[in-house]
Amino acid sequence: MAQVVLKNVRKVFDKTEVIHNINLEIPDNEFTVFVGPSGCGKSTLLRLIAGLEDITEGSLHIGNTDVTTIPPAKRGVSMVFQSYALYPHMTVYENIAFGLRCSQYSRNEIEKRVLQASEILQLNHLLDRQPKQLSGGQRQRVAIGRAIVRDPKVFLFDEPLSNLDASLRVKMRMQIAKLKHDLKTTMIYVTHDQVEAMTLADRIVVLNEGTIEQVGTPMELYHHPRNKFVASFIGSPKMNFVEAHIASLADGNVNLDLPHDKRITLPVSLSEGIVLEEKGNVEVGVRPEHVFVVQKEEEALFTGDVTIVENLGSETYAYVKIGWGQTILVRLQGESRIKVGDSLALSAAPKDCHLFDTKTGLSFERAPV
Amino acid sequence: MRSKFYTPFLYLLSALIIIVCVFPFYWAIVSSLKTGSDLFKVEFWPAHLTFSNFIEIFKEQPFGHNILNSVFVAVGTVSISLMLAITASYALGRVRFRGRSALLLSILSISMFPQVAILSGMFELIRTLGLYNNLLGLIFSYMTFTLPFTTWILTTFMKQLPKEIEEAAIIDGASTLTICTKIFLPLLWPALVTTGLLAFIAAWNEFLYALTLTVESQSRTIPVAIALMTGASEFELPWGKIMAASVVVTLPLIVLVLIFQRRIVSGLTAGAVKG
Repeated sequence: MAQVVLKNVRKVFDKTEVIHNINLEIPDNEFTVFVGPSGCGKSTLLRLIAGLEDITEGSLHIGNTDVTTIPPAKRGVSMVFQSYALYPHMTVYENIAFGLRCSQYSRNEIEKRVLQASEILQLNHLLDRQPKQLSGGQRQRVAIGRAIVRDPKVFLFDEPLSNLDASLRVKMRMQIAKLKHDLKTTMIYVTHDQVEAMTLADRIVVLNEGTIEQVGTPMELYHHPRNKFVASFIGSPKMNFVEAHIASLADGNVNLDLPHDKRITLPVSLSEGIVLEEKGNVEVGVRPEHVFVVQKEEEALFTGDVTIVENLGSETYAYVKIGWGQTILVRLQGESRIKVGDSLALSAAPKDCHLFDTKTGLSFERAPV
Repeated sequence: MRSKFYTPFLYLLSALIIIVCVFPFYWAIVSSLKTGSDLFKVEFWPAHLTFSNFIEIFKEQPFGHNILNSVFVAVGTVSISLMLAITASYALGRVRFRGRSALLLSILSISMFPQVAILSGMFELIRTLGLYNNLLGLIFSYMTFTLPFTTWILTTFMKQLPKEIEEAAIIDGASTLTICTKIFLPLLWPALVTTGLLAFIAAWNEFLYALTLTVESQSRTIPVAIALMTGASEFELPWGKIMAASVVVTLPLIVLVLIFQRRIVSGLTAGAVKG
C-alpha cells in the first residue's frame, strides 16, 4: 500500500544517459503501465524502482520513505521477470517460499502464505513439481506467486507475458486483471504491447528515448494524445497521418486543404500560445476505426484506390492510396466485398480528427469529446 | 551415400584406439600378477598367477600410509581449491569491477608456467613456512596448478547462469552468501564435480613437487613411493611390485570417474549449449 514518487531521476550507463530527468508520481493502489518501443528505458525505469540499478541522480520514494539508496529487499517491492527467473533446482513450493525463508518467517507462517498464494493462482496441485516440469503459463504463475507471498507494497512486472504464446497471453492477461482486482496494491507493469497497456492499466505512462511523453488514463491517451508519438503508439492499428495545408484560420476553426482538392474544417483552441500560420503545413491524424465509406464523392475527405485488403471476418482493413504519396488505413465492419483496385470515397467526423504540428509533432488542443 | 565398408571401418578404428589406450593398463595388470623371471616373458596371460606382489608392497614398505597421504593431499587440495575458486569465480563472473579481465588473463597465464620453473622458489617458500616434509606443504604447492584452472572453469560456468535468477534472489532478500550457497552452488553442481575430479586427478598423480618437498618414506605420496621402490638388491628393479602398486592407485580414479561419469558429461556439455 504505497505511492511511488520519482523526482528528477536520471540514469547514466557508461556515460550514456538513458533516463533523462523523470518526474513521476504513481498513486497508491493504482495499476500503472510503462509502455514504449524497445530501448525507450521502460525496463530500466522499473529496475531503478526495484533497486536492481542505482539511480545516478534524483530521488525515489516508496510510501513516505526515501528508498533511493536502500537495497531492493528492504524497499518492500517484488518483481516478476520476463524470463520467469525461477530457481530451477527448487520445487514450486520452495520457489514461492524462498523469499519468506530469507526473511526468516516461521515454518507455519510460510506454509500458510504459500498455500494461500497457490490457492489464488491455482498452483495447489503443482507444489511438488520442479520448474522444468511446468508449462510456460504455469511457470509465470509460480513467478507471480513468488511475488505475492511477500505481501509487497509495490508489485513490479517486467514484460511478464512476452514469453508466452498468443492464446496463453490473453489468458494470463485476464489473470493479472483479476489479481489487480483482488490484491489492491500499487502495481507497475512494463510492456511494449499497447493492447496489454490499454486493457490492464488505470494509468499509462508512455516513454520514448528515456523521457515521458505522456501520462494518463487509457482513454485520455486514446482521445487526447499530446503528440504524434503517443498518437501512433496508442491504438491498434495505428493512427493515419495525412499531410495538410492550412488554407485559412477563423474564430477557433482552421480550414485545411487535403489531397485531391478536398477541404476540412477542424475546431482548434489556440489558447496555449500555439502558433498556426496560414499557408503552413500540419498533419491530420485519424484512426482507422473513425474513417468510414461515403457514397457520394463530394461528401468525401479522401478518395483513392484500394491497394491492399486484409479480411479478418469480424472486420476488414483496406489500405487506400489518397494522393500526395500517402496511404491511409480504413477499418470496415464485418466482411467487406471491397477488392484491390476499387475506388473508395472516405470521410471522418471532425471531432475524430487530430491535428499535429509537422515540425514538433505536438498536437493542437481539441474540443472536448 | 555411405559405403558398405563404413560401419566395419568405424569398428576397426575404434578397436584400434581402444587397444592403444587400454593395452598399457592391461599390461600393467598382467605384469603385476607375475614374479621373478616370468616378468620378462612375453605372454598375454600369465601362466602362473600370483598375488604376492600386492601383498609385498604393503608389507615391505609403508604403502598403506602412502595411500592415506595421497588421499589426504588430494582431498585437501580439491576442497580448498574449490572453496577458493567458488568465491573467486563469483567475483570474476558476476561482479563488474575494474581490471577483471586482466585478472582472469593473469590467472590463465600463471597456469602456463612449467612446474620446474617455480620449483626452486616453491622449495624456499615451503622451507620458510616450515612446511617442508609436511603434507600441508604439498597441498599448498598443488594449489598453484589446481586453483587457476578451477577458478577459470567455474568462472565460465558462473557467467552463464542467468542474471535474472540472481536478481530474483536479490529481490527476495537473499544475501550474497545465501545466493552463492542456496542458488548458485546447486546450479553449479555438475561443474563442481567436473572441476573437482580434474583437480583430484592432478593432485593424485603429481610427482615433481611431492618428490622435492618430502623426504621421509612416511610422508611420501603414491607416485613418489612407487618411483622410489627398490628391489632386493640395487641391481634389481621390482617391476612386479611397481605394476601392482600402479594398479592399486589407479583403481580409485577409475571408480571415481565411473561414479561421476554422467555428471562429468553434463558438466562438460552444460557450457556448450544454453539451457
